Amino acid sequence: MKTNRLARASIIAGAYVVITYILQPISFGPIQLRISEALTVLPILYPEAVPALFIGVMLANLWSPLGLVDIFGGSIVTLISAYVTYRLRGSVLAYLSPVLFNAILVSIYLHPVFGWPYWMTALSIGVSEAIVVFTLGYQLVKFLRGKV
Amino acid sequence: MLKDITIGQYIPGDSIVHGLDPRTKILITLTYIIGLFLIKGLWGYGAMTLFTVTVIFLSRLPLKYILKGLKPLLMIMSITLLAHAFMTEGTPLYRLGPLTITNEGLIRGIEMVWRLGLLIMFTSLLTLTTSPLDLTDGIERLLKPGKRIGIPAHEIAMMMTIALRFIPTLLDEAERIMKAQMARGADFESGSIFKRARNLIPLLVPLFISAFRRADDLAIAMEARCYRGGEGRTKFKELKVQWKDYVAGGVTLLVVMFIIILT
Repeated sequence: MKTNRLARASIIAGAYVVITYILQPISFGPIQLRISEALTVLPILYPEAVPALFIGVMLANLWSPLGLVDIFGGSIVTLISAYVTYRLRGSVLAYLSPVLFNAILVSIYLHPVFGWPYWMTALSIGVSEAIVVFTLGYQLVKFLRGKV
Repeated sequence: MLKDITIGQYIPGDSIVHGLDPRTKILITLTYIIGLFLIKGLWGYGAMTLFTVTVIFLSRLPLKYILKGLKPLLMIMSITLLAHAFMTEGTPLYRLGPLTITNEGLIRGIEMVWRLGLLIMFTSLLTLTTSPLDLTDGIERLLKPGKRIGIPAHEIAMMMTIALRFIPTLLDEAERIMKAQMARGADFESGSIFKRARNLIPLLVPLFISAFRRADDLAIAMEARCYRGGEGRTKFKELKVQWKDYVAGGVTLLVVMFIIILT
């Protein structure tokens, strides 16, 4: 990896952690939204965002009460979804990737942990991801496009 | 307000648990998690609890910190317990209108909540007793064998280290932008979900633009100091596996296997 790509990726990762942390108090009632998940659409604009998100999620989840499960599970799912977003960057499907992968894959390890039915976990994760990605993520890409 | 953040949850100390190699601790935690999903029955959970309490005692951390990790999940734990108690078919214990608590459901619910509680307490021990830098070092070393199949262990560790280093800087930046936008009348705190999400754009876009500028400066600084990737790089602090790491790992493996076989 070229040094400037590496530096950019590192700083996007740092930004993910910071946004997760500062926007934590802004929760919207019963469904907990992770605003920083809006960044999962960044690979549409920057390929280096793929490793950046992987690392950002890994570091942000150092605070997660689920610990190691979330540190590795969450980051690997993010890596897959970010890569797919990058590959599909030309189409609308790029926005769907984080919603689908998080809903389908994160529930695989969250549903045995909480003992909730699989579909219920998948639905609740999917809905909260969709809200963040389609409102904030979409706007973020629109405004950043062509800027940096 | 944003400055009083600690990175991760690390609490420095000089206990046996603190002194273990981060790799050992990561592997022990993985073994524990796998074990937790293989054991069955209340006796199994009881034995796991005994093991967990012993390790907490050895880490010499105040119990308060470990229990604090459970707090954000209390709500979800009670929902889980109730859902299992009511939704499982079996011998009725208590009727509440159309709903029935069953014996099997109650036991299942308790097991689930107990397992979740143990999982949280034990895994938070890892982040409580290992500094983020040690943790990254450990992850880099554990990923090293993956190099052959193309896992960029050095780059991953480097990015983690830089990201950790820049978290305080980016926090400062975010706070400054938030204040500047609030002075211009930005509203981060009211409106519907969608409106609030949209209102974050004036915070996120400038944050990214300035972050990218910082990244470009950093890249120039790194290249000026002859950074050229992981090949042939040496370390100031080398990780070394000691006899205590083998002992700790071995004991955990034996205890977990023993509990799985017995239950």
